[in-house]
Amino acid sequence: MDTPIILLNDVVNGTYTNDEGAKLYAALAPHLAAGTAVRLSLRGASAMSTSFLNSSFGDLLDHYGIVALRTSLKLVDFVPSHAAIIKKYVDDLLTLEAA
Amino acid sequence: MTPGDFTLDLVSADSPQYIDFVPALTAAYHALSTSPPPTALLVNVSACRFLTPGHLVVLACLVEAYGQRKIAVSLGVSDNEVHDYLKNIRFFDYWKPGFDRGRFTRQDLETTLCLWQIHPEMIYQHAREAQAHFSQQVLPGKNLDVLGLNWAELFNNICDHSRSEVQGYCFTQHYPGRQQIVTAVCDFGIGIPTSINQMRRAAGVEPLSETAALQEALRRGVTTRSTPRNRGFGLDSLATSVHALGGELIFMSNFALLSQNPAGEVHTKKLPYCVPGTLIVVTLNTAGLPDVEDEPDADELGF
Repeated sequence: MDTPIILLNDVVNGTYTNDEGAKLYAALAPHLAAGTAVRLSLRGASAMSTSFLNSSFGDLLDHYGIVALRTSLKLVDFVPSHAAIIKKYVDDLLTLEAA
Repeated sequence: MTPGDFTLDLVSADSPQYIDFVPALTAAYHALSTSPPPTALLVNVSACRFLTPGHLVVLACLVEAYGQRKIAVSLGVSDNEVHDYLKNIRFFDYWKPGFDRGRFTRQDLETTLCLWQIHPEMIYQHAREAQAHFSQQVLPGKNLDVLGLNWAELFNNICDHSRSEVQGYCFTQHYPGRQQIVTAVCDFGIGIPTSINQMRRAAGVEPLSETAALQEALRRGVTTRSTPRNRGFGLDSLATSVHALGGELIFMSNFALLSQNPAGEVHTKKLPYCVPGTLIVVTLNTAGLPDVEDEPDADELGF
């Protein structure tokens, strides 16, 4: 069975606010909860603010942990700078939590 | 001028001069707390040679504060470029009845992005329209993600933390000769040092000096948790991205000033007067902006 793909722009209207980040969280959380694979397509997406990241990837990390994130989620169709923002955010959050 | 009026004399040299300029504006704000308060505010720009985005957003918050108290504000007639500039950007139109200060107002000036009263529900729309304006009119072929993200961080910071009755104002100006885009935001809220020290006192921790508190706010992970969704990444992200492009940052809040130069060096200074709320000025070097990126990568990326 093919890994499902979620297109970010189908889920959110912008990547700058907490409210929109919460919508992405809601779309991805069931997959992390079930331990199933999912791809997130960033085609056409804008760069993500920290508020958006807090309520999406930040909350996913809080509730499911880095192992679940690594197991389930892959990013596709990304421009390098956008993916770098997400990766740095996750790395920084893990570093802070470890401190 | 009639007894009871407050005349705001704006005097400036040919430079931002925030330290010299802001006291006059904040004195006009503090006049609202006197008894009786002014009956009118007259803005006099006859001796003013230069207005920057930082000046404009503080002035906008001031006019908003007077307007909320139903005190009339007027611009004195002057025969100079500053007077004409305020007319061209329709500054005083913003407080005419029926004018929506929270919407994106198109202007004829290519180098100027409209004055905007920050509304949480309009953050994305404004940032995207602003980014599109500069992409199409001014900087085609350049990746302007950093502009959109900076605006988002600034707007979210005000909406989440400021507790400002006038909400806040934003203004952006492009200076093609200097290859700079300057964005300023201002609110008349609690102020960053006060907010940081309130959090510290509530946690049973000794408060910091105002300059140390302002510097602390930019440290990654430091948050007052004004909302449960804050994690203390916003201002650090702003400072990091500005430094990466060789830009500059200025914060003025309560009795503190913080500046970050293009080398990333941070300096703080105690102010002899109190800034009500927070003024932030971001200067980006457009020559350092990256080009538009290629089509999305074909690979997949994990964590």
